[in-house]
Amino acid sequence: MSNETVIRIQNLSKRYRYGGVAPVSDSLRTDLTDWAKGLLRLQKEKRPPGTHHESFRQVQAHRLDVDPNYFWALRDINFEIQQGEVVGIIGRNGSGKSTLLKILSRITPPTAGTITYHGRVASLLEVGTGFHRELTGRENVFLNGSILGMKRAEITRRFDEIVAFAEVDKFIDTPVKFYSSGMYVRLAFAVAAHLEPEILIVDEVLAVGDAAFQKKCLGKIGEVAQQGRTVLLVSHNMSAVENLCDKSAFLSDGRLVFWGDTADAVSHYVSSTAQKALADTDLTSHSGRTGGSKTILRRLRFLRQDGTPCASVRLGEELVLEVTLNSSESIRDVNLGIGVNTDSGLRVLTLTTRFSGRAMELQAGQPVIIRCSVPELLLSPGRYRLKLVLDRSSGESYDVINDAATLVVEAADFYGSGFLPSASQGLVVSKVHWSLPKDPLAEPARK
Amino acid sequence: MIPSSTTVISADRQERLRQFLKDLWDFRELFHTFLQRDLKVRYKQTALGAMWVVLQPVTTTLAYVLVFGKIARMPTDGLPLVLFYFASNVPWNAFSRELTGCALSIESNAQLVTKVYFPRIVIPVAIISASLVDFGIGWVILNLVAIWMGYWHWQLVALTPLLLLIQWCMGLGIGLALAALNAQYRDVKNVIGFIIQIMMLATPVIYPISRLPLALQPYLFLNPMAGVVSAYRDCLKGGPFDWPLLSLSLSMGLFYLCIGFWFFRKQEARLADIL
Repeated sequence: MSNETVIRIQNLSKRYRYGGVAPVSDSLRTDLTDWAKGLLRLQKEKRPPGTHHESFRQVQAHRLDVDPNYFWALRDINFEIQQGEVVGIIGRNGSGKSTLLKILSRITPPTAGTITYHGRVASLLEVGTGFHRELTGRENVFLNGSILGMKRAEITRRFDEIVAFAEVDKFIDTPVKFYSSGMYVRLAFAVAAHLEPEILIVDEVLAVGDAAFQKKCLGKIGEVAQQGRTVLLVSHNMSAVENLCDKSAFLSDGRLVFWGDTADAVSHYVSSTAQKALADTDLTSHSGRTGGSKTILRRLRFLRQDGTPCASVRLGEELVLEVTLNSSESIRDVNLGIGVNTDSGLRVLTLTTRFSGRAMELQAGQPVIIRCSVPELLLSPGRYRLKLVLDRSSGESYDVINDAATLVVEAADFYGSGFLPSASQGLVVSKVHWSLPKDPLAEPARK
Repeated sequence: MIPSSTTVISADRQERLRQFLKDLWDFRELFHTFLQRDLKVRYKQTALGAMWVVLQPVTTTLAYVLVFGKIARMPTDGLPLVLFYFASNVPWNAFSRELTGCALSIESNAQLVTKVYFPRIVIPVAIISASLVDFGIGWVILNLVAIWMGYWHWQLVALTPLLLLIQWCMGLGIGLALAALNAQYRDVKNVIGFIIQIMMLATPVIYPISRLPLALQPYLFLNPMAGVVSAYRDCLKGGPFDWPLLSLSLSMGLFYLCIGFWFFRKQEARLADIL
């Protein structure tokens, strides 16, 4: 691994306009006045080409930027990536990750600042970009390959490999509209996997699909990294970032808050997003509600066995989760799911009414209280994030809230031996019976 | 691994132009790919397939002969009805297909434009090039019909490159401007058919140029297609040509191309944000 800088990001800023884009007439007017000024030689200073980097502050000083119609999606980002580094870009939704990715992939230009990079970039913001339904698998491999920046000769050379990887050889001359969705995704990913760029930019959206496919994607990224290529990975999945990335950039509100060691970046991210543990959470206007959701989930409470509210629960004790629902319209066939995730996004437990084999019916305007009682909570001590999902058995979702609340599990003398289990020994604890030979020396210590 | 080339992404305008020229070269293969795609896709899942390329100009011509020739009794300046309308239909149909394809190209490829980078101009240029094939087939039939009817003249072959250049400049110029505009204002998509209809009436497609009122004749050059269409007819008549009109048409076509290109370039960077 050489210490050569492959990507240099300097004073990068991007401004967007609230409520869509400025009318063409605005930008035309600015252009025409600029041009007229140029003609009249009002612009005395000519900038030497290439030496000019407008900074965020300079742009901000410009009159347009006091305009409340604009906001900064990225503000004054500076960092450098060395060759062969695998870099994670993390941050909450709306922190500027996607914008940074789009600028790096050259889909959208920066408002100010510069990015300089060496070598070919392939960005995978989705699989199968440009696939045409009417064309055959073969034709699409060439189409998709050249859109992603491969040369024809390169595609021809690797064609057999791609087809073998995708396991679609029999159907390669069939239009892709007749493909099953699995075949389609496999073929699309196969093309992407055989790109040989110096810099690979991957969005986590790529990791859709089943677990096996996600694993394949992540495995491929690891493989690419080992070949000395530079990889940028944008993800919400902290365990993926921790496993794959050497360094990470943590963005918040368009600013680069932290740049450096992945473990430190992740802990910055986690502490910034950690919610205060509450016994009672109002869900009516929750910020974690996903787009397209109806407001049906109203309230979440943690209760002890005796029904008293609690902000945390001790390992091995009974926990009651109480969810209040109120729908403005009558809906049938409703399932409530509660996902328990670790701070880094790993699902440890799913509680859903679906497992009970019974679905609910909600009457318009009538509040319903659902209690889910877990007699013995066998999760190791730590903080967990709860995701709430209200959906139909068919999978269509009514209301989804990510990070609805934080559940704190406190350490307890679960084994009755005075020994406190901790998260470093695994995420779950289990009741256990040992059958051991007697150890006369250890016996007195135990009493 | 030796980094092969350096790319600069910058807000600076001069830097962007330099990068644009470099990209055009780097992405030259993509042009072929899009061209192939556009040709392959056009007649997929059609029963008659490529036959449409032949059927379209033939049927339009027959309809014109019937309606404007036989019913409305439009004068033809001495050309047989079939040739008179065929000579205008071949370039005009090609032009209107170019213009429509170009104007809608960015929007119909929105999924690509918002997900991956390449010089956006590749899309409309590939579309224009694909419709050259249709023009070529129509042009060959025109020649065959002219030979069969005894009106063929070598000038038809000699002048075609120039006429095609004018048609191409105008189609791409206006098409580029409309494509960039359509990315932001979908009005274009709704009125493109209407625009082409009006333009056709302003072009001597169904009437001879000589029937235009004298007062309007000096403004004909504003629509370069007028000069193109009537030049095809002049070829069949064996001349003479309206050289002043043709040279003005060429200049005007180049002017449209520059304006269209300038506007497209201006909007190009914003396309992904506004689509």
